[in-house]
Amino acid sequence: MILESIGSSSAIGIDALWSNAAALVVVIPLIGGAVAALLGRGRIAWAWAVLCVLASFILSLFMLNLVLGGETIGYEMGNWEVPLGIAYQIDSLNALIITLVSAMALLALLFGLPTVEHEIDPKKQSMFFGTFLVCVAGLLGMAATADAFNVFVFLEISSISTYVLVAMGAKQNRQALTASYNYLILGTIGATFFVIGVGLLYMVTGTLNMSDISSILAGMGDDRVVRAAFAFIVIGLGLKTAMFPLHTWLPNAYAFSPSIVGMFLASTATKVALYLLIRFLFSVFQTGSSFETAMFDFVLAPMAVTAMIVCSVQASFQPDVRRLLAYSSVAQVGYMLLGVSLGTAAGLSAGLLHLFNHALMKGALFMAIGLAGLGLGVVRISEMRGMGKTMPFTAAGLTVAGLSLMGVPLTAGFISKYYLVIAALERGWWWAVVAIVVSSVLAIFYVGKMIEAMYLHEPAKHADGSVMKVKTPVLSLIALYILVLANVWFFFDPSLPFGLAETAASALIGGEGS
Amino acid sequence: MAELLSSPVNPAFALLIAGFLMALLPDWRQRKFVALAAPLVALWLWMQVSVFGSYGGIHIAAIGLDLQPFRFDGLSRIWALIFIIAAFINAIYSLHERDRVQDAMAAIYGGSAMGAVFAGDLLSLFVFWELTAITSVFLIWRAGTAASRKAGMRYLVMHVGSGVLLLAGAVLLHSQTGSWAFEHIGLETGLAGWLLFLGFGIKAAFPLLHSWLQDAYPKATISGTVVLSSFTTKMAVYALARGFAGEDILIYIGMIMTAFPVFFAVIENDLRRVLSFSVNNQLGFMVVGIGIGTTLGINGAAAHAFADVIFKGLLFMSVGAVMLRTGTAKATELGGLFRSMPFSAFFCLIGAAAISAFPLFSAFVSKSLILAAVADEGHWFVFGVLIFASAGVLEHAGIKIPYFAFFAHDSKKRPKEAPWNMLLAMGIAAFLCIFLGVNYGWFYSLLPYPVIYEPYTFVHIVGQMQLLLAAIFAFGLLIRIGLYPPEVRMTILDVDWLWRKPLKHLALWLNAISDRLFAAVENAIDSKIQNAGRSLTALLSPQGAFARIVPGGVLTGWAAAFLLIALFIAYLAKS
Amino acid sequence: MAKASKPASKKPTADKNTSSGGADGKPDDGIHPAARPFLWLGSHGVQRNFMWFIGVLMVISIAMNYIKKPYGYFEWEAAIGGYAIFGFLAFTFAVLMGWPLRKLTGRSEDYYEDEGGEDDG
Repeated sequence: MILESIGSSSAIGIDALWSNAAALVVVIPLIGGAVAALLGRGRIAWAWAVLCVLASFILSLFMLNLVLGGETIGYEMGNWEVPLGIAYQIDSLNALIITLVSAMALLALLFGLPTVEHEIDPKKQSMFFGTFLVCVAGLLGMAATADAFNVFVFLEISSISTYVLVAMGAKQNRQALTASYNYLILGTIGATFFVIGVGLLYMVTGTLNMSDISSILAGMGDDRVVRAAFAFIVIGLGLKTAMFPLHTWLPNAYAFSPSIVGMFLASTATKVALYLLIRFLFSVFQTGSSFETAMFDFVLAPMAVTAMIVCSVQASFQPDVRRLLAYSSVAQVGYMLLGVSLGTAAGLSAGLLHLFNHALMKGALFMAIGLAGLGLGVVRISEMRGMGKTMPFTAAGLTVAGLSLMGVPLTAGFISKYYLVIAALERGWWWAVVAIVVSSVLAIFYVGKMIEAMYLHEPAKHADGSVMKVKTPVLSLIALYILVLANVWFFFDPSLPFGLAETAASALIGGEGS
Repeated sequence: MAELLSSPVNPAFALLIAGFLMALLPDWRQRKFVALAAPLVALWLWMQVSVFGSYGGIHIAAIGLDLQPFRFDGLSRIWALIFIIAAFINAIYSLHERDRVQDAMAAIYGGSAMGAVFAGDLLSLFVFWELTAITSVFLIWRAGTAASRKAGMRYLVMHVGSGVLLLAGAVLLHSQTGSWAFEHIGLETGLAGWLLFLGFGIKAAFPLLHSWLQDAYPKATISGTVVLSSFTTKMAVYALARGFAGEDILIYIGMIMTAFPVFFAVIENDLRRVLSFSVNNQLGFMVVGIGIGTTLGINGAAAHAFADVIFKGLLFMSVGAVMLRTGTAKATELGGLFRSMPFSAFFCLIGAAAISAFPLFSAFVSKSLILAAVADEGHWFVFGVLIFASAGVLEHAGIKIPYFAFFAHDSKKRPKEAPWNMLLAMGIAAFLCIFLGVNYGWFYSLLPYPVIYEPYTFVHIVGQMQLLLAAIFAFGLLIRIGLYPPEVRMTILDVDWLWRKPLKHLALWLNAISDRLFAAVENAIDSKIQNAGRSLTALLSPQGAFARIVPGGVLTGWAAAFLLIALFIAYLAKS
Repeated sequence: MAKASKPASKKPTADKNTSSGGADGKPDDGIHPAARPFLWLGSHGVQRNFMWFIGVLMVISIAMNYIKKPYGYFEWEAAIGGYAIFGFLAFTFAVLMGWPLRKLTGRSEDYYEDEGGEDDG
């Protein structure tokens, strides 16, 4: 079906490339993945993967540019018309997500070569990069498609490749296998719930195209099947989003997977699932319908707030750095869900902004920890002692990203928390503001633990008493610092993500919000 | 000269830039040069501003903000000046140290305190407020002990928390008034006002919120304690004077603040901790002045803050010198040091006389403004408590510090005199203590409002001398008849006991319990709901059969249960 | 500032024997030359009887009230020696309260286990 679309596109040359951008952005890594697996050597496969992802990234920038100009990009697979065919549709909401995913994939690859060579069996490296590309393609597809069943297909593509990627951490730690297994089970349940929900919707509406479903639902009265579909889809996607208490697969999956995978998943996987949740909540189902409001008030918001506090506490108690960051991720998903569950345009755009910023900060943090693992074998916080001296650049990057995670001014993290607080205040949700404050204070604590270990403890020394200096791969450091600088840059100029988030939010909710 | 600058430049920048510069300079000589030059540049910038006003406003269109980072008026002027002087003296005091982190952090800390004082809007205030917290904590941590690391963490939590309250209050206030301006706030603004009040109150060490001070200051580095005592609390006093002048509750808060540390300081063994209590006690006087809120009261608070930075710094410096040379600040280990450290002893006595408000010393002319303001308003009880607290100051700061460190029984320790730079710093501070007390006309002219008050009346001098002499006499008498509690090595509990003992154990216990509880719940779910979970899983997922062999089965149970809840809610919602 | 001509010890945290006598042949007792004229301050008799000196000054200051009648906002301020009485009572009260307070709040020095040693925790 996909190949056919390329074959049948009538235009030729560069123009064809641009006009098919919406599809190519997904297809290139998908096919590239198959090719990569055939390339025998790890480095060649890596270079190929970089090339594919770079192509996707450039295409996504191109589309972002169009969307910023106010366009909505539509694309019909094989020129079958909607509702029969499968359509891709890029608007300000998913343009942001697609750019984010492709950019993070590119940075992950730039960062990850040395860690992959360290952590993955040389024979499996080309296979690894191939799977990685497929995973990227799956995530991009989830974001790009406008077809509900197609979402499921890509969801499965990305999930299955993720299970494989996580399991590849087994060379470092056997627990990666159980982690992957747990993820597989829960991920499958989530996908199943989701596909049941989509099936129920198809039963009612007779279409799989999201905008069609939406318009048909709008014309219908209250329907119990729709309500059931709604619950199934919310919980199914909630599982993939790591919504509390369905997050239990996440900490181990992030902590025991290879560094590059943990870093990439932390900054994209839950984000794309959350994007889909937003898409379904606000664009497919009727915004402001009673069951949606009830779901916001009684499920999403309480769970979001609980996650923000409980998981922050759990993070504070983790001795393992990556598990700490993973629990913090669940807490941060809470922030985003809180923004969503406010049900207002301000809340949604704050949530989206936090989604974007969190990808930046967690990406940087996982990169820094990956480098620390590579250089010093760091797994636990206690092993980070003296990193300020042994790995000064990595430690500095980690500190800035950590400050952003706390939400300190001059970092992007502050901006999104600020908007979230304002949005919560607008709705008069005091308890939510209190939760944000408490959770931020806890973040100070667990980030502080890392900073304290890095700067206030003596580093490991050589026998002659000189400080051990660890060489850090330059390319990885560049990738890390791109993210670190982004964390600062988007404080001073948040207009790109914020503009997109605001446009998207007002398009989804309109002025009238519930 | 005045035309050198086209528009006034915020003196805080001099210190902030110097701090960042010092962070990069590996050579200590260059750092020390910068540390000394920065306050002088700041002073020059301060003198360039001839007209009150708000300069260099920044408009950030992206998030619709109007920032006023440099408001120069009567209130901010005097606070900025004392911060400049303190930064200069502290730089001299720490000349012998070779710690890049402390050099840089002390300067940024001082600069951000000054920035907070000049902030004309609540967001700038918040930024500098938090900056003081995260820079000053390094002065504690660099002591390098396990105790200092933990105390620093507790300090950081309190202070960042204070900033968060400030921000929450500011945001709420903005939603009410539509303005970020930092003007008089008042508690009548409701929750917004209270949040800000509490945020300020933490840094001003209000009773029950004070323990971070006695906890962290004594554990900081030697010069760090001096630097810490100069800025944080005085910045908070400024914020209170700006935002909450004339709130009656402040009179009573301040009254309690002056009185309760007196009792604790008597039995405290660690002299730096005694001085920390004294910080609290002196802050109380300022808070009372702000609570009175008349021009006389605000003038008194400003004057006393100015004087306090110098004499409290001087006392901390002299105890720091003793600590540098003997390695301890515990009264039980010290005594008789005047034999080998006579200059330090002399400066310490001047600081003691100044804080005790002997005539001709600075506190005499500053504290009496507050007392007069209180009396003018007819608060006889408050007035009595303040006089009691004045006698208390004499006890713990005026007598105890010099007596137990430099006199009392001879500890037979004969350490070297303090290094020259410490003596110079103490000398400058000692000079200022007397200069302000004698040349009070110049001092009063710096205050926010015109002063019509004459401190040196015959009756006032005699009354004050009676109070002080009778108190010293009582001290001698009590020592003589053995009723003075002897110094004993021990820990004195404070409210921080609450979170350092029961709450800490509660947290550890909860953690242990929750671990077990989770395990127990999972087991229970395994045995009880497992069947339901399994059948659901088997029903819904092709992989359901696998779920049985792993603990993942529990997770599927969770998911299923959650789905049921969601379905339930979706069905129940009114249509 | 007096630069003592003593051999300096490198360690800043000195113990009892850090400094030694000068080259002037005085015994090696660590006394600072500037402090020599004031050593009487440390003598037992002076320390014991210093309070009487203060007592005399206090009496003089009270006597001053007869030269010029005191006045004030409140009644006790206008009494002869009012401030002296207040100061004496206030000071004594503050100090004596130390006994019960110490009973109530005093704990052994290592009460908070985290304040133990100087070593790495």
